[in-house]
Amino acid sequence: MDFIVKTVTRYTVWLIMLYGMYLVIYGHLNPGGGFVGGLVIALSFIHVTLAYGKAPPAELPGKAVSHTLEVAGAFIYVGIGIIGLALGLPFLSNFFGKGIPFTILSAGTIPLLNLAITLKVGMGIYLLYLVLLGTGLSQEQDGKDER
Amino acid sequence: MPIETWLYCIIGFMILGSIVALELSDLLSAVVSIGMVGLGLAICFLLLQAPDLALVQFVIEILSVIILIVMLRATNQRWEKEKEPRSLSIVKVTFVALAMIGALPLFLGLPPFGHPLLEVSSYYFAEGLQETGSPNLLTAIILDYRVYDTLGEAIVIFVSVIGVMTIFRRRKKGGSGHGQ
Repeated sequence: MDFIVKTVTRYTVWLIMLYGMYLVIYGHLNPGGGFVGGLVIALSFIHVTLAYGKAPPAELPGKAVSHTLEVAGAFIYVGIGIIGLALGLPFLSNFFGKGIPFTILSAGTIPLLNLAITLKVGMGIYLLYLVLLGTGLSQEQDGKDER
Repeated sequence: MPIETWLYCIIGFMILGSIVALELSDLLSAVVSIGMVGLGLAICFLLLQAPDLALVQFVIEILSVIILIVMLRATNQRWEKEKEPRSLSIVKVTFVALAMIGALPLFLGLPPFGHPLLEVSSYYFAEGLQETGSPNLLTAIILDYRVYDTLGEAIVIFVSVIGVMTIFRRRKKGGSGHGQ
């Protein structure tokens, strides 16, 4: 892409990412949540990749890293469910204390599940984009990832 | 203007967009037209005061247009629409019209706009904050009452990503000829 697109990307992409994190962290208080927050974070990565092509200005997560993060999201989700089982409650029950409503640390397991969904959805969509793009970010990194 | 009029306008626009997407011969233009349909749906959600759904719909629509365009590039397909005979399209339109006429009693039996059939939402409004501690009731439903559904959604995304990775890996190895 040309100079204007690159400059605008450099000045706006952190705002997009910050908005994604805000949507995740305040997902149980405001409109938002893990799904859309993860998508916005993935969109910020895709934005950089679209603008800069194969030479991004900062190191972006490759296929291996995003796959690991995605699987970590799935493990956190199922792990929270199994902890609930171990405490003698139904699978995936909300076992933490509810806390004071309208504060960040409230609503039991809901913020943790939001985080798990963020990793799962965001990294999954970003990985889908990278795989469809064909080459990943660069050729030698691609070779390293396949191992 | 009442809200229903706006909704009728936007839904008509969306129907027009999907017909255009079906009839265009260029696949790239069809993808853009489908994106327009999704953004119309997002505006509908905003008018119906559902900001969560509107957010998800906006972002998903942008992402899906990007991913579809990248997929068009990855599969490198230039799809040409075949000319179908005029008699076949007349038969299709007739069948759709007959189905619409047949479904008319069904639509007339629906409850009026703004009066849903399911009464369970009133329970969520009354008890959601006490039972889950989450002021955003949509998150409370997704991640507490209906948490198994969300697990299923996550599995669907996982399986689709694994499927795409498998298909494209085999294709690359077959093309380059090494890496066995």
